[in-house]
Amino acid sequence: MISVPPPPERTPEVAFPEIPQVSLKNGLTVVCVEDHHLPRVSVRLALPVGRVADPVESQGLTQMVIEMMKEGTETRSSQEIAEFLDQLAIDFECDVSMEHSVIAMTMLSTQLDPALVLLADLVRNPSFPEIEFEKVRARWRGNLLAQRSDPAFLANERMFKEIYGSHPYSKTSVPIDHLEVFSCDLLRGFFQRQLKPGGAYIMMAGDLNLDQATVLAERYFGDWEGKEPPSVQFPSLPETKEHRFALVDRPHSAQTKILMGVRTVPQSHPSVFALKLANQVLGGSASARLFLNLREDKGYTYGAYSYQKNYRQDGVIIATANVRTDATRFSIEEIFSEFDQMTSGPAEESELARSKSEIIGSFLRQMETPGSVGSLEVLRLLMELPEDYYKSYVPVFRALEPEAVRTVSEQYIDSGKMVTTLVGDRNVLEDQIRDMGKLSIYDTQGNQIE
Amino acid sequence: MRRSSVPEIQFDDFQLSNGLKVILHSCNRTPLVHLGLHYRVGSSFESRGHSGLAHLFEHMMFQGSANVGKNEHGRYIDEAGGRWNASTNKDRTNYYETVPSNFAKLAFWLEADRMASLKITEQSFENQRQTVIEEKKQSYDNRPYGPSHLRFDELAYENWAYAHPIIGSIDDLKNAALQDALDFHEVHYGPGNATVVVSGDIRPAEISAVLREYFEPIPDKTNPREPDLTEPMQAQAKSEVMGDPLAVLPAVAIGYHMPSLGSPEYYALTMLALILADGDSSRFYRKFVYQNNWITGLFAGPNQYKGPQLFRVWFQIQSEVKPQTVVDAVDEEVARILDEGVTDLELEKARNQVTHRFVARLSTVYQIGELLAHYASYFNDPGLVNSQIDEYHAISKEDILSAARKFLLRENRTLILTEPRSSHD
Repeated sequence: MISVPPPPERTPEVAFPEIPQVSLKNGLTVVCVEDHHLPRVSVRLALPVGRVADPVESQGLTQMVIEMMKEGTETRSSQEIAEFLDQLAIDFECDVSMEHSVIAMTMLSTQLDPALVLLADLVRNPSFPEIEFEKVRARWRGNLLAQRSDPAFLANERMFKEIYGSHPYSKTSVPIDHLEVFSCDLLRGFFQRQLKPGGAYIMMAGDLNLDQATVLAERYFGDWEGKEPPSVQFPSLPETKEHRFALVDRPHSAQTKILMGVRTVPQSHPSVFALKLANQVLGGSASARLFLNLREDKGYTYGAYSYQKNYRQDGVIIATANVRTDATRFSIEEIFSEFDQMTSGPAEESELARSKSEIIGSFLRQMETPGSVGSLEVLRLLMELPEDYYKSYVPVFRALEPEAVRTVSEQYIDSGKMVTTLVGDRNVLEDQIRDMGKLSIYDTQGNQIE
Repeated sequence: MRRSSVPEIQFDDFQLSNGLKVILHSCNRTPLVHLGLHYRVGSSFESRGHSGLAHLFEHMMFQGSANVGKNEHGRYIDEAGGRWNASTNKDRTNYYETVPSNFAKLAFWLEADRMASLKITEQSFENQRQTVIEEKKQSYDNRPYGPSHLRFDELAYENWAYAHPIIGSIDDLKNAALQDALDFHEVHYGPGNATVVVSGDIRPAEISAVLREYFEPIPDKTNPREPDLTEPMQAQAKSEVMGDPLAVLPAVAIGYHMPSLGSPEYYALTMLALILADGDSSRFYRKFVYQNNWITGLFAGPNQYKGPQLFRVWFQIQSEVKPQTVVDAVDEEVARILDEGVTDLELEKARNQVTHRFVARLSTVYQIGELLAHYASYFNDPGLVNSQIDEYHAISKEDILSAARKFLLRENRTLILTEPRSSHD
């Protein structure tokens, strides 16, 4: 066998395509990615309303309103809508995230026109019928109950509550008793106030061109009226003063789910690129520090990673692993020490180069389908990021120096302000972690028991 | 929606002198190349006392070969900006790299090196044994319904080849030895037992020369024993109740024995699964979710094993509903199918869904590459990537009725009810 790896050939260009946009009079913007490779179109209606807009006493309201759209309009029943979608083989999904919502349909291009007819009806004329609402509410009850058996859900919910306190960013889940507050009138009122064409985007990506997209958007959404809803006024962010621990007691757990997180910067912050690179070095892949340490060296876990999330007002970096119960304390110490290493010295040239390649490679793979290119662009528009954001994406990462990564780590990854959330069996965990720092204990329903 | 809306995938296929099957698909839209390597070995090839070895071995393929050190395989690909992974199922093990096209040769070199040789140590073997034990906990032991998921095939299949779990038993994992892994490589990992697919930004003539350079010198020493997958006819219904302390809601898993992947009945029952459980207008969704609010999660369809399959139905039940109510209702719905069959409208809907799915799965070089490899290693016919849709569209209402009448029978059924309680209660 040849004993050395073959050298690469010339690096291919990674060019983010020009994506034309047309704004309609009502404030809805059409975003089109033309690509005739497959006879298929992906449509995403993106609205600048997310979980943060939910009232404090009725969390999940945005999602309930959007889910209820396909349960009836002024002229179509829930059953008719279901038949319509399945008959035309339209994939339908909605996704409500922290600061925006997306209603998505994907279909063969021959079905684009009827799909848009339906989408417009769902979004503009939902009727929120009482009988369907009760069914959806009952389904939610079951799902919300079931979700409380999932360690990943429990750890994430606790993390955001610990970091964000009463700030709207703490709202990652729906308390089951909030369902009792919901009513059709509440849904209708919220719909009328919040879901408007102003500030919204309709992406059409795939087998069509801008002219077609504009004509269709104008035809089905052009006379939809309403200004952008007022944006959420954020309170000031709470401060974490010392590293603290929250344990969710999940009896009979076979492992411990660990999350360790700390607040960083908003999406629009100039340091967000260097922090993304720092995250990649720490835990962005199976070649990164956390994985090599906790899995490949220690064998504590099947995988250890980190990720970052950035919103309008703030961001977080979070490390995660499911570990052997009796190695919980060692694992926390190792993760903590990996966070510390990020701030104490610059990354090696080689791991920095690898991390950059990972980020650029992932970006390149997102260029492969019109739907993912269009989704990136819509995200940029919703987050109000600069026009050249994706054009400069690769050069910005290529130019980052080791020192820049260390500096942002030192500035923003303050392990003294870290929050650790654990999900596992209290009986076998508590002794291991009792003396590590301030500890609070919760049950799986979210009640503090200590 | 006619079958003609699905674009045709062009490919070349040939075999090297050492037996390696090669498939090439060129698509230059994005500068990416996907390399997929499928070995014809999975957990069904294991012998008793060695459960979990095929999957544990898959982990060892990342622990070093003649010219590549522990964890370097992944690191090389990550440095190139690529993506890599591997998976083991009952019938095959696959490895892949999707890389920027200027690194295509690197992926060939890495796969060829570990096909030709394995350089692993007691220490790396022990490390991966621990990792796999944690993988089992994460994927099954610490998840609601995980243990009943592992139990299902054990109860349904009489033949150990498919009955035992891919992840293996903890005892067998603990007893596995380094030599077992080395022997496994010798028997199963060679060009004569593999298919390699390259899809994406390539020039086929050039790339086949490079493939030959890297893979042709590897001699084929494989000598796998074909597993006997024969499953006796089930004559009596089987059922079990399991307690699960991690579950919040009860769940029911059902399986009816049915023929292999690619049989006429397979296509008929796949269409039936779409009609029963795919989409909000499907029969099960309509009745169990929409009308009665009995269940929250729902799945139906063949389990996609290469040999004797099961037609699986799974649902999670609301806490205030008696599981037997739902089981009885499933029986009623199945009886209705056996009695009346499906409607023209339902069949047309299923055909439309199949057509859209066949288009949707051609979006990336990864998807196309893995599809070609799948058809090659499961059916020995990569051309099915283009023609298989005809098999689905040819299915008639009568085909569905006769397949259902043959297999969706009470005596042919296995059922596990999982209740949210400790198994000691």
